[in-house]
Parts: sequence; structure tokens; C-alpha cells
Amino acid sequence: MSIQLGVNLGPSFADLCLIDTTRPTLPLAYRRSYTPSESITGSIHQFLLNNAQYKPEKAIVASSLLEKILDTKLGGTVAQVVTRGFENWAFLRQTLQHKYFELQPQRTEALASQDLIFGITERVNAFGENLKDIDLSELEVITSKLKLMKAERVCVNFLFSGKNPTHQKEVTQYFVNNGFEVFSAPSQTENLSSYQNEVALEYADEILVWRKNLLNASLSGSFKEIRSEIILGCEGFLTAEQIDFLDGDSSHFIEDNSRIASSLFGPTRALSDFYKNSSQVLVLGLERWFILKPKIRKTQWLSPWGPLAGEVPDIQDLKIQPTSALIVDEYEQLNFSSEVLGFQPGPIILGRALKPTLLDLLHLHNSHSTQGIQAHTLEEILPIIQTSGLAKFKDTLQAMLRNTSSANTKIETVIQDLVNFLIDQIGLHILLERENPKSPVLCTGALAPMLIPHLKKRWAEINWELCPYSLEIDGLALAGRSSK
Amino acid sequence: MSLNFRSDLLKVFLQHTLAPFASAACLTGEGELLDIKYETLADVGTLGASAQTVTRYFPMQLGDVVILNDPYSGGTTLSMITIVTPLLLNHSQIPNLYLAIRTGFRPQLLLSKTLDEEGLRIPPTPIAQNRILNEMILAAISSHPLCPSGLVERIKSELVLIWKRVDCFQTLLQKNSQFSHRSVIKDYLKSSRSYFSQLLQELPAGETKIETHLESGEFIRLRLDLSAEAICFDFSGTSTSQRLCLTDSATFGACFGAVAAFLQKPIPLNSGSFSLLHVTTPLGSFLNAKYPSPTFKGMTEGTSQVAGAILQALGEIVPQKKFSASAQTPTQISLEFLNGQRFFDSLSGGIGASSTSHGADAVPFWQRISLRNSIQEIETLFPLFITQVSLRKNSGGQGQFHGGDGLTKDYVVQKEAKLRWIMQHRKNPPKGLKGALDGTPPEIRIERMDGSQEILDRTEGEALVSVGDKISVSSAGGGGYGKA
Repeated sequence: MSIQLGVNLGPSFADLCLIDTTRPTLPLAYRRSYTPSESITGSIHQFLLNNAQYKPEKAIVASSLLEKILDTKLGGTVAQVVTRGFENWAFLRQTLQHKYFELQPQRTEALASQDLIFGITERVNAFGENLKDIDLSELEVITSKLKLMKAERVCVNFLFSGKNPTHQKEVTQYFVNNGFEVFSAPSQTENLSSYQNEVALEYADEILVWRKNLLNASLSGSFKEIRSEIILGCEGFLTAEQIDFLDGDSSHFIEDNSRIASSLFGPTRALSDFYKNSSQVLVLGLERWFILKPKIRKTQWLSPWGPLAGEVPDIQDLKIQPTSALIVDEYEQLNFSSEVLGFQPGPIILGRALKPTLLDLLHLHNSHSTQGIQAHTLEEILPIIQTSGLAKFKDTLQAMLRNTSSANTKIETVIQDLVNFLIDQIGLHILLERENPKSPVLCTGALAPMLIPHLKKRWAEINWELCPYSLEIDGLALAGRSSK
Repeated sequence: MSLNFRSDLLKVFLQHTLAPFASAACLTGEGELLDIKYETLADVGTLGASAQTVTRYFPMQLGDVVILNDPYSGGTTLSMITIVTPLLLNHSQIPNLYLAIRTGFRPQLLLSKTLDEEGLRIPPTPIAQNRILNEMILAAISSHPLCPSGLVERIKSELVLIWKRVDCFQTLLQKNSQFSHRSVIKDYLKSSRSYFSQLLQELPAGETKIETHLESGEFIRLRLDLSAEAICFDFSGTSTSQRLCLTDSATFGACFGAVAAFLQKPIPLNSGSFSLLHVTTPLGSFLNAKYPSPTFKGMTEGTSQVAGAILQALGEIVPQKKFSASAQTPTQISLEFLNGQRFFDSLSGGIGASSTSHGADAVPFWQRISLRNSIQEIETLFPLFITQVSLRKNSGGQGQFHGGDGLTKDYVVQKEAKLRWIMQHRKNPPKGLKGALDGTPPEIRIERMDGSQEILDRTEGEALVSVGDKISVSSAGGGGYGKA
């Protein structure tokens, strides 16, 4: 018997699972913990202690935890060294905040400080020919400035480094030798002899790689903190070398600063590999709902700053998420907002929030016939659902209803209408996205068992299949991976 | 399900249907626009017009396709191809529905006197019946020397997406057709109108008259009457064309786009909202041009100028929303090489400052097009070498809040070519407000191989460039706000 630990770190929940690798689809032990109230280290350590009869030989970790800090902890002391004349290139290619016309359109916030960009003399042309050599004396001046500014991380982004990486390698080595952490993965265009077709041209756009380097550098500090917490949690059971991280292109890594941004896709990659024989999977997790197409791989992903290079699974978030806020919209109707509240503070039923969410609605809707969400999620999160929350949510909904054009409608009717609207939207999305109408739509995730009866009832023409171990899938998909 | 939720589902369906296309519209056979996704001001007014032209003159069956790019049939510039096809026909309770999508090619900047000199004009032309493409017609179109390269391949790839949407709609109808019944559509348009009217009510009612003289030689005379019930634009007295020609539908798009920007909120783009706008454009003025007037400049720069004039007029009525002027029209250049290759580029200018914030640097004001102009693509496909793409430092007007900077891009020409350019704001740079400075006007400079230098100060023109010449293009900065 060979035991493996799977750790899936979402923005608010940690899923932990132990399996016997000879039976990789059967969880031996499982736990979901709420990380705002319980540390990652503590959750892992307690889980391993409680299941001390199983001695793991390996841990496989996937984390989307960094997603929630993208807006708050970026930038800092990341410096950029780029081809002279192109100091603003990455910023100028960033996407606009809004797609609609406005009086003061703005770009998204810069990925890294604009005061720490240094242009140096060097140039390679489109055919990989070296046109201008590097002047080492320029690097010496930059090094002194960076040390003065206490910058520890440097991104090296040169034009056409994919065609001829000599300069990039030379400068990277220089800064490594001077004690900096350097981020400089070149674009992989060496084998593209011609950019004459659309795909090749898209792939050759090095700004996608520049952005990836910048994001790797910006997330590096936080990633190291998370890694340390996990290593500490596994202390006494596993060493640091026995803990693999998973990235978006299905690779395992222990320490590799070029894979940090891609590791945001580790959780979805694990699911994609787990369901690799299916054409479409509807994932209705506790924190995120999306459609996954395991047979399709994408070569870039759309970050808040624009497209970014890297192989990632094909995922499409549903417009409505479990913590989508309920609002009275511009048409004076109750509706789901595009605002996703997350679990901090979370739905009203968790006791701290004021804004009602879809999860509150589902809990109320199911409370008549079952025990609401409690019947469908794991025991570990029961303590955070408060009984008084249900009444509070109902009162809030009633107050909102008074501000709508349906003020006289019974609240029960509105609840049923909202749930039907939700189910119709999910079905509509599936219908628009499905590759093969004959193949079944697999449903998985903690909330799938609760929603699948509704989906089957309203969308009978779609072949829905509930996956086994839907509740445990986030941890199971990781624990069951073969070690690489 | 209540009427409200059915119309919500209609909105969701429309969003999903238009999502994969850069710009697209859905409308009924009676010409009611249900939703628009746009990239330019001209799209807002012309997408519906193009589909209305097609449905008026071509009785279509499901699977039939008509294409066009003729501005006088609802197109914009000749590089944008519109594809129109039915989504649903002959349903007892649902009106006929049509889908119009627009796909763009690299534009050509030709300073022409007639439309037919600007490129290949395609009047509404049926290209498919029952989903079978008429390869002969397509071959005839693509054999034209001015036909955009890759047109047929692009049409085919767009049709794959279109058929998927059409099929999905048919399946959806079998399941639930209620959401698109006439009553639901009527209610949806009525609530859109009511919402837009509410937004207008937030503005003070008023009337103003302005006269704006454009650098291109035309003048706009506008009487704007704003109330909660309607917003009327009367352009009587506006000049005839000197350089700019717009169609009346493009002028309508500029009016609506300006109001939407002024309100700074996403507004439903459909016949409901549109019904509150009344636009009068005298026949013969440059805002209501007729064939064979060339439209490239009108559809790009002209729409921006009209929208800019409207913002000025709205600012007179609502002084608290008066921002410093932005460089609303980009600086555009094209290079035509001897082998017939044509390169096009568009450099955005700076945004005007407000009483609370600096203006953004080099942001497209009236365009949401993502022109893919990576350095890798330009240098690989064209005999050009880019030596600089950077912010034009301090080109934004200085003040308490400074205007956004423009952009400078340097191109070294590797083969002889004809340079063409269009730039606004040369004589009248974006104005600063409350004692702040104006933005710096745009500039195009040619540094010849022999050391001589030429500054191009006309609004538009042509010049020959030789091997080794450097063309330095700088876009305008935005106006500042308040004394420094």
C-alpha cells in the first residue's frame, strides 16, 4: 500500500485527501477546512494526525489561493530590465478596465512598479540576429540602484529572446550572481521558423511571456509563504522534497519560480486530468462554478492585465457563482449580481455578512425538503452555518422584494423563480458550450448533489451524470495523481 | 416563471449569443434591436442598420447568409465585413430573429476622393443558402486585388461559431420558448427605455447650442435638448464635407456613444434605449453623406469628432461633469511598400484630467478594438524595425491634475514606401481646464538617412520614405485640470 496526500487550497477552503495509490479513485480519508478560521498548517497537521494510520509517501498540492491576493499584494520591489526604448511596453499593452465607453478610460493597475524599470542597450531582430551587444557597465549601475532601493526580484524581458536567448541568459546570470532572484523565462518561439500563420503570430507575441515573468515575480513572496506553511503542516510526515506542486500544464514541481503564475491553474488541471476522457464537466464547487473541457488545452489565459502565456485547461466560469450577490437590478427586479462576494465575510447564513448570496438562497430553498446545504456539504463546515442566518436572509430578501416591481409577489414564488432562473442559466450555458450533444455532461463538486435533481428536471434533454465522490473531488483529483 | 425572469433569461441568452464575436447585434425581423456588442462608435449605430438593410431586401431562410461592407448599406470602413443570418424564422409566438456579426481586417489608410478608391466595396451579397457556401461568389470577391487577404477563411471560421449559436437557439426553443415571446421582448425593450430614462433624469434638463470647427475644415452646429423623456440632437446648419463623411447611422452611433460615456454606466444597447435619442442630420451635411463619398476618415476620426462635440455640449448643461479635453482621435499612419504590402498603425493619445484625478496615458478613447500590433508581428511581416515604443513624457497638460501622456513610436524603414498619415489636435491640442495647460499636439517627424529632418505638420498627407529613414510618430497628450 502506497499512500499519497492531496492538498487543494482554494481562496477560503482547504481540501485534504488521502488515498492508496493502488486504488486512486477511492478516498481513504477526507477533510475540508475553512482556512480563515483554521490555519493551513494546522489543518494539514491535524488531518495527518487524525489519520496517523496512513503514512503518506508523497503530497501533491494545487493552490488557487494566490488568486485572492492578485489585487492587493502585487508589485512591491519587483524591478524590470528590458530592451531600451520598450520600458513602457508591458504597461501600454495592458487591457482597459471597462469595455464600455467612459469619460476617463483607464488601464488596469500596472503589474509592477513603473519606477523600477530599466532599459538597457541590446537588440536582437526578428530573425534572431544580434544587432546590439550588452554593455556590462550599464548592468553595474542598475545593480547599485536596485541594492539601494532594496529590490530583491528582477524580471529580465528582452525583445526576440525566444529567437535568440543569448542576451537574456547573459543578463539573467549576471543578476543571479549578484544575489537577485531573477525571472526570465524566454518565449518558446525558437522552433517557429515562420510567423506566417495566425496561430504562430499570436504565440510569438512576447508580451504574453513578459507578463508571465512579471506575475511570477509579483507572486513569488506569497507563494513561498504558502509553501512554508504546507511544509510545516506536513512536518513529521513528509519532507519538503516529498511535496510537489502542480501547475497548469500538468507538470509537478518542487521549487521553480517560472511556474508560480501557472500554479494558479493547478486545481483545475487536477480536475481536467482526473476527467481526461470526458468532453465536458460541470464543476459546481463550494467556491467556484465552471465548465471544464478536459480534452482541450489552451496556450494562453486571460489575466486581469491581458493574455498571458502558458498552457492551461479550458475552463469557462459560469456567470452565476455560489457567492454571487442578490441585488435589485436596474430594471427593479431581483437578480444575481456580477459581484462575487466569496466566503469572507461570505453568505448571510455564515453569520457575518449583510449581503444575501446565491448560497443563502439555495440553503433556504432546500431547507423545506432537506437540511439545506448541510445535507450536501461535508460535516466540517457545518459549524460555520448559523441557524439564525436563515431568518436573517429571509428578512433581507423580503426587504429587497419591496423595492422591486414584483413587490406583491409571495416570497416563496420569488425564491422558486430565482432558482428556476439559475437552473435555466446553467442549462443554457451548457447548451451553448457543449462540443458533442450526445455525450453526457458530468457534474461534480460539493454542490453538485444538491443541484443535479433540479438540472435533470428542467433540462431533461441533456444527459446529466453525477460523478462519484463529488464532495471530495478537489482533494481526490490531486491525491490520486501518479507521482512524476 | 414570471415575466421578469423570462426577460432576464432573454438578456442572458443575448449575452451568450454575442459573446464570441468582437462586434455583433441581434435584432427582430421588424427591425427592433435587442442587443449590440461594439468596438467602435460607428458599430453602435451601423450594426443594426446593416441587418435592417439585408432583411429589407433579401428574403432569407434559415442557413442563408449575406455579407456586406458597404457603408451606405450599414457597413463602416471597408476593412470591416458584416455577416447577417437568421437565428429564427416563422415561429408562431416569437418574431423572426437575425444575427449580424462584424469581423475586421487590417485597415488601409487611403486618402481617397471616392469610396471605391478606398478598397473593395461589397454591397449586400448572398454567399450561402442552407449553410452551403457559394464558393463561386466568394472566389470572385477574393480575386479582387483590394479584397482583404484571408477573407474566405475568416468568413468560414465565423460561420462555425454562428451555426453553433443558431443550433443552440433551436434546441433552446424546443425546451423553453417563453423567454423570447413577443410579450417578453416588448417588456424587455420597455424596461430598457425606462432605465435609460431614469439615468437621464439624474441629469439636469437643459438646452444648449454649440458650433465646433474641426481641423479637417468642417464645422458642427448642434442644438442639444436634454430632458428625462428624450435627448434631441439637431445638427441643422452643419457644414458639408471637406474631408470627413459619415453615414447617418454612424452619426447616431456617435451620439449614443457620447451619451453613454457621459453617463459613465453600462447602458442597454437596444431599440428601447435608442428610442429616447432623436438625431436630425441634414442631408448633404458631412454627417449624412451619400455614395460615393469616401468614409474611412468619417467612420474613424469623424465619429470621434462628433462624439467629442456632444461631450462638450453636455458639459455645458452639466458643468460639474466637465472634464479637460482628451486626445479623442488617435494619430494614424500607414505605409505602402512597393510590393503592395500595406502596414497600418494607430497611436492613442492621453486622456484629459478631472477635478479629482490625472488622465490615463495613451488610451483609446472611442475604440475598444484590440489591434494586434506586437513588435514581433510587425518586424516579422513588414520591412520595419521598431526602435522605441514609449510614453511621450510630459505631453499631458500640466496642472493640479495632469493630462495623460501620449505615445511615441519610432519606425526605421527597411524598404522604400509611401507614408500616409492622419492626425487631429495638431492646431487645437486637447484643452486644459481651470488654469491647467493644454496637452501637447501630435507630431510626425521623418529623420532622413542624410541627416535632414522633416516635421509633418499637416492634418493629413503623403510622403515618400527611403531605406534607413526613421519615422517618429507621437500622439497628443490630454489636457490638465487646475492650477499646479
